[in-house]
Amino acid sequence: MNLTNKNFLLSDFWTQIKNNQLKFIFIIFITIILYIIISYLIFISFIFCLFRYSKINFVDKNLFIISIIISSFIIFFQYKFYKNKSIIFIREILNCYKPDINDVLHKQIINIVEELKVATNYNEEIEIIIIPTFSQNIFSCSAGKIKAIGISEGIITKFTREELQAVIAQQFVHIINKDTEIITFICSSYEFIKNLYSKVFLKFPQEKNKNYINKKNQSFNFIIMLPSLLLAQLLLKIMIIFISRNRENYADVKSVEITRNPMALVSALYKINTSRIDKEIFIYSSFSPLFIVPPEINTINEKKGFFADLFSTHPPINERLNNLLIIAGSSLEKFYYAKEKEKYFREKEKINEGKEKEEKNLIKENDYYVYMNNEWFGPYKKSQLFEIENLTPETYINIAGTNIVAEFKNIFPDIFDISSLEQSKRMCPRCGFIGGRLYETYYEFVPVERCNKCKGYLLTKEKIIRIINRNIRTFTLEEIEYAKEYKGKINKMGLKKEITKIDNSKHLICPNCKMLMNRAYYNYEDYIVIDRCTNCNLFWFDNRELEILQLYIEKRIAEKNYSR
Amino acid sequence: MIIFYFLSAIIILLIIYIIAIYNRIINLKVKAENSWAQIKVQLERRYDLIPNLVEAVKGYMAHERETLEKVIKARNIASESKTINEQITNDNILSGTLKTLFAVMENYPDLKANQNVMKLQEELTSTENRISFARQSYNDAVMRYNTEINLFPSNIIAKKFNFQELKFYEVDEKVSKTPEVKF
Repeated sequence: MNLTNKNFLLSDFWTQIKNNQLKFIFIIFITIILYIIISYLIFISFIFCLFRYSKINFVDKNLFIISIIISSFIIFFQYKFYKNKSIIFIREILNCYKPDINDVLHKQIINIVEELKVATNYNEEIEIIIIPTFSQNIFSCSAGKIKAIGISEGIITKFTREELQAVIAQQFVHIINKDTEIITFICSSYEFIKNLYSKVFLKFPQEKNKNYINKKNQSFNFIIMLPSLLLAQLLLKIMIIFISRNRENYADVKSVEITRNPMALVSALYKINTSRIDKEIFIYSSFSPLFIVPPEINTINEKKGFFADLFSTHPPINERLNNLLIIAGSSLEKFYYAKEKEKYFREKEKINEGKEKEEKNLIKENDYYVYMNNEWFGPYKKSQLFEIENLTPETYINIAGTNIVAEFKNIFPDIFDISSLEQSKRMCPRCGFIGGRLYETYYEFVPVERCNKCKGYLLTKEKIIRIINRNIRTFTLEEIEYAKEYKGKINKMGLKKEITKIDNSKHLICPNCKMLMNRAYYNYEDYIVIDRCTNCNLFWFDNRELEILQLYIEKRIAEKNYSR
Repeated sequence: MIIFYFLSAIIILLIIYIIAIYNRIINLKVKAENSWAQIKVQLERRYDLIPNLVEAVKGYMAHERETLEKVIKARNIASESKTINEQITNDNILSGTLKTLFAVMENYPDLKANQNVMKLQEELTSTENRISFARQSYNDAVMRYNTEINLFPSNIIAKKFNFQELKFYEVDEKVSKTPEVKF
């Protein structure tokens, strides 16, 4: 394959686009025929039930015409739904949000998309949406003029810049050659039928107040929805036949022609494939054709042969890796061998690290190294640090035996009062009356508000999810010990875990709207007390509570992955 | 009479053919120039970003003044270059100095923690990538244009109308080494 010949690439893009446009018309035609058949069958069975065996004609002209009219109406509405609402719908279902420009990691994604626009000479606007999950996956969808690429937080934090570029370029190819339009149409048809049924026949307010539907109602809904669900599932399965699994292979190779870095895509695909064991993240399976690698482990996608070709949505992952590795001048065997080797060494390192940690726990007081005049001095004990001349709050300090390097004032935040906070007007809800002020800082690259006195955090729900889904920060021994203590305290309380026993202080007042904040557990697994303003969607975490929450959740996920 | 008609038909066809070739060459040239303009935009972005980065880094890297001055100097020279060839050589020098700056920055733990510096560095790496992508498409356009004006019948027309070959945007040999596949 000649990778440098862009002539070939451009001309091929055009033929692809033309083919896909024809295919789109063909698929709409097929869906009309399907609707006609289905509605005709429904009519016939309806009449059959009403009049039993008396004089029915199975081939009735009038019935046929009625079903044609009905199905053309339905397809009209479906096309409208796809064009205007499908992307909004996808965004809502996956709880997506827009990237934050102040966040370095999100800014990176925006930049990469701009870079690829330069690379492909593509000038239309592409929306970036971010899925708040640990799972590593990426999708693209487009309808009408809106084109969007959805990226999970897992990818943003775990991938290198090259890998991100490779994966986004792959989605770019799909958007440019209009694969995504067809697939978005097919995927939205599933949601459309489900909605149509509930809206036309049942008039249930399904999606709006999802949280408040009680359990009885839900099961009742489910039974009534069953036929429509089956119908939608059947339609999806039929339409999937028309999705070619080879489109992914094509996009892989094309994206390598853009980025000229096949190994980045190989390692990215490998990472996505191996990381999707997490059960916690359930993404709607009807959208799986949109993703780069199907989010659920579907055995038919890993098979070859006639039926697998018909009903699968993606090619087998090993085939894709092999194609790319051939371009890179390597082979699948070599790649897997290298990965196994890497794993072996990593595990060996882990065992060594465990031993070191045990030794570390014996020494209770930490040693510190000080960075001055381009050199590290030390080790010092904490009390010795204050005897050093020229030591300023900004001097960098390393906790011995760890990778943690931070400013003096950040390692011992209790010693220093950060004085540049007079500019901030917002009062701390916890200690505002003694002069606590909120200032802007970063936690896991997420811009947050923090109090200068009590060190609590004020966050929005979206930011909490973002923080929890990132694990760049390392925890100090002190924090880990505090978390253990907290867990012990909770466990002592027995079955009835009353909030007042943990936090007995007065209710806080929201710094934004001056209303009382509610006090509740963040979740019923970690029992961390938070204060929440339902009005402004703000959450207050006391000092260390956010760290504990993050620690617990990360630990839980690590255990889950390990146990499988 | 028949010969006259025949000859005039041939001449008219020939003229149409020449016009077609001329237009094709012009088309390719405009495309190449357009992608050069794209590079220009990205280079301009880089010139704007460099002083900000140097300003942010200055406080931390007081005794690396030499490297910082080199970067600023290379930037000033590059931003004032006039012809395409001049621009290409000057920007290669600037890329080299930037690379040494990034390498030196790795040694400073303070810089890694600074959000402002991180943002600027991200912007600069993004710009570098954009420049390299723009360079790809510029080189492709130039290749198409150059082959067109060197191929047989069109090279005669190219000579007549004084079309000249454009220069490729080449990178230093050190940079353009093909990356080895390593696991």
